[in-house]
Amino acid sequence: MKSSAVRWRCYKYRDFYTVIGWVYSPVLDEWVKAEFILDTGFRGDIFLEKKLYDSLKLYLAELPVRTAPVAKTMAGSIPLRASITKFRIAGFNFQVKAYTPLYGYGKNLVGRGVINRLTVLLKENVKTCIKMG
Amino acid sequence: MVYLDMNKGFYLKNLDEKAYRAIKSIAAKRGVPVYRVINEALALYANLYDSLAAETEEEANNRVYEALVGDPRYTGKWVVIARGKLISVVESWNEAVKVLRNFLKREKASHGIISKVGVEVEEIEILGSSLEML
Repeated sequence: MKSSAVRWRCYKYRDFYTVIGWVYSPVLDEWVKAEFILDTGFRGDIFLEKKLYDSLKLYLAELPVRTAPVAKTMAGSIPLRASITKFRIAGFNFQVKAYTPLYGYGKNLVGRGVINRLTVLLKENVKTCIKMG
Repeated sequence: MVYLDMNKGFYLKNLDEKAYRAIKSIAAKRGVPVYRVINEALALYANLYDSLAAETEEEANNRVYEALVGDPRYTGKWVVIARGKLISVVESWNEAVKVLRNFLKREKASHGIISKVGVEVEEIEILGSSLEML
């Protein structure tokens, strides 16, 4: 008989609700593991630190400038670079748009574009859990 | 090889005959001496050279992409652009990635584009997010 138990993958709270995800490099054909902040204020899929974006060589498979978005923030507009890639989290694989700032360092964030495709439980200041795919 | 004597003129070896004939034809149409058209062409090239040389690979790739936008042959297709050239036009992202990887095995590049032609520009909202808090 098949088990109907729901499996969750949980991550410790560390000042932020963080999760572990894997980003694919289409150029290197490799997956790279990284820690991401779960960010409900970010409408896109994933945002990457500049050094991670560069190490994945996403600049070799980038979207053209005319389709690269500008991020609207409280502090003003930030020009972004963007690339289409794949993102793996809690057993799910998604095709995503990965963004990084044109200037500055950036942060690893998982935005609403990915969060809305997952079932997520937040235990206040303790852990983040994602229902496994 | 060029023999240079401003008073007596130039002797240019290996000049492209087709290009020379085109220049000669332009001079004839305008009713001016050939040397004047050649002088203008040389001055124009000298002026353009800096701006052409200053174009980065990224700018060249984006220029190529811009030329494809609006062309019905490419709308909805995935394109691979690198080294300022359109490398391939394919039906899916996976195919485009394979083409790019094969290209990068043969040639070095500092920037590349993989995109579906005709995708609209979007605005990404990062309001009150961690990006601003950190």
